[in-house]
Amino acid sequence: MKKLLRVVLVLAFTLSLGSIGWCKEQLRFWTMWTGPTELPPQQEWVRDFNELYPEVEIILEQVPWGEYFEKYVAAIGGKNPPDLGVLPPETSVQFGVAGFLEPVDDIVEELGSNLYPSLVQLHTYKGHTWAAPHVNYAQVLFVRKDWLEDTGIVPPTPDQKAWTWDELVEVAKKMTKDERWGLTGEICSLSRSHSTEHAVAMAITRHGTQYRDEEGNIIFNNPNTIRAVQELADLFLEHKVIPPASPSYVANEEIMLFQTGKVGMLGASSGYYDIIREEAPDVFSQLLLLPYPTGPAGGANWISPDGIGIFKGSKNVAMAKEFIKFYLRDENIRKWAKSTSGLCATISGNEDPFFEAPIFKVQEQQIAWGWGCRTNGKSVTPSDGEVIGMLIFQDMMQDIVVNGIPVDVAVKSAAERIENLPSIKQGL
Amino acid sequence: MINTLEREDVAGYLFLIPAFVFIVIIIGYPLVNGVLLSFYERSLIYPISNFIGLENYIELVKDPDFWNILANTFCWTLSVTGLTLIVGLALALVLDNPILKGRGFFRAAWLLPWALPTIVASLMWNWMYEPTIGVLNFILSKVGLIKEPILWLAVPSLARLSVLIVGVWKGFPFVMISLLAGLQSIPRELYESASIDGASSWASFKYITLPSLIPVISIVTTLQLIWNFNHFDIVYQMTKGGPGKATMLMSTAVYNQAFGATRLGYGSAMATVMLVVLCVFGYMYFSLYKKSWE
Repeated sequence: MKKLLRVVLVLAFTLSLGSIGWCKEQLRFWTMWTGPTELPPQQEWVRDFNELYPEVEIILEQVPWGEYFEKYVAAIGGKNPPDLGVLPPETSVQFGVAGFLEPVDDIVEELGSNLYPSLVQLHTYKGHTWAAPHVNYAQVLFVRKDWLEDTGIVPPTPDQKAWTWDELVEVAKKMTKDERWGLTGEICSLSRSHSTEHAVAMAITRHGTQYRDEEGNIIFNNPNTIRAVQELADLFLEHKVIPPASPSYVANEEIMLFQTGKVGMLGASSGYYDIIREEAPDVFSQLLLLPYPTGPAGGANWISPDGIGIFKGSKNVAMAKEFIKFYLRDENIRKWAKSTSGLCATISGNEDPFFEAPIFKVQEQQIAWGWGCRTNGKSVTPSDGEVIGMLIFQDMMQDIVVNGIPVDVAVKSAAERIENLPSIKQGL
Repeated sequence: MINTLEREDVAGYLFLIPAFVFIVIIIGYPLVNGVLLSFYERSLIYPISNFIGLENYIELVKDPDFWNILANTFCWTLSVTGLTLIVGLALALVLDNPILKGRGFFRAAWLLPWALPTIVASLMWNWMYEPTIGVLNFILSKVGLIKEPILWLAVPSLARLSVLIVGVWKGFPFVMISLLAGLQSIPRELYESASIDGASSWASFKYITLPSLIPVISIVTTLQLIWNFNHFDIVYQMTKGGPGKATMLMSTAVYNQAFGATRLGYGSAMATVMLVVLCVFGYMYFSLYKKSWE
């Protein structure tokens, strides 16, 4: 009898302990920043926040960048989205307009002018801000100094700002020999991922065009687009300066090739700076950081001011907002930016001598030169999210380089797909 | 007597009700809903829900990509099923041979591909196939078989072959183990009699082994056809259906349409076509199962 009583007591005690855990509200936070230098600061904030607010528990869930859009869509479709999530501007606007996000206007108002207005603008559409920007990454041209010296070409001088595209191709050609290639990364990606969408967006911006005009008309099928797409395809088909397996890449093969000394230049997010330092110190010691090349219409860079959004139906919107504000505190956001070589989305966050380092300067320069290619500071629209999400540019590039379809035919076909996007049809 | 049987029958059917209800909820409802969705234009993101009749199917029939993807899927299904059967049977015969030493070791080793999570296997093969830093090209060039790196996943025809190899590698252990069980159930006396009558090894295989294995082979093959036609993970992980759409299968195309393009209706129409093909395979399976039971 005593034994039974003891068992009952232990069970009751265990259950009561468990029930304390059950009472805690759990808020799921999806992050796509899952690299070895990206995850630890986030884990730290989550831990600190959970200690500060014991009534809730933020659960950090990792989602790969390559599949983030499909995962969000599947979760929304299954009526089980996370409470909070990292969102690029085109996705935040798309989901916001579709009614899946809570506006974060009050957070933006509270932080006032401390948040860079141009970054807030990118997450704002139809009078509401759908995600609070927390970091800002510009892409950087990582160049092997030793390989560049071998080519005899000098890096761009300060008055030049950057190489032209033709100069970049010239350097890449000289670097390409003996199973070593000149260029790889998001700047010229042909992979089956969002990187190809970014490469095409940058190429058409360099040529002074977009896929739609100010009035929202689809103008993708135009001579400048054809020239821009041809320029990208030529890297593979004519100049052969990018690794021949590029159309088959689905993950981080491009960065791996640069790290293993197979490619001389990598055009990619500044976030890779720390990964190269950690994983390939020999390559890191030879790094030269340059801005992206310019085209006929100037420079272009896929600047990523990702934000954090709150999904409708979140178990505790007030605490989710608290978490975003906590995230945006100078000490927290700085920790993040420092460990991933990005810039803070807050002005006070960047006021630290640490951000004088070249990796930050080269990003600041390109931002200051207005080299964005997400409509150059204006609001993005839901159709931007759809073009990226549906990988229309990627299909186009694969058709050209793998299936041998002429550039003008592939561009025309992509333009038709864009014209038939649900958001375009609905005039969003 | 009849009354007793009837009462037993009724009790039997009553016991089936919970399972039946469960199946209707978790299989029947999504299935019917999926077929119904194929008659709608519906987006996962925007509030669009228009009944459009057969328009999704008409678009499918007119879409050359759809026919290429369907052909890819049949090629993949038949090739993987055929090759896993040949490899599985060959290795089952090796394992069934009493003169083989260390059978336990080989059985465990050959089961490994099946035990390995598909995501791990796909990533592992992806890196092995990497033309510049992958181990496969490294070995082939070291032994002097190649001078230029082979672009395993970047050339459409090679990409098809490369994912096929992984599909066979991942699928043969199931066939091997099933056939080994079949082989071990064949009475040894049959082989002894055949040997006394002067039958060669080939004759024993042709007239004893193969006929005895036919029921197992039929069922295993049909199951493989169903699983391979449904296949998603290896191809999605390794190539995402590329390069171009060279390795795109029906299941990956359905996923892309429903969750990438957010065209739920069109994706459902593709899935319904898959369902029809799978029903044929399912019918084959149950016919063969019934036959072997009889």
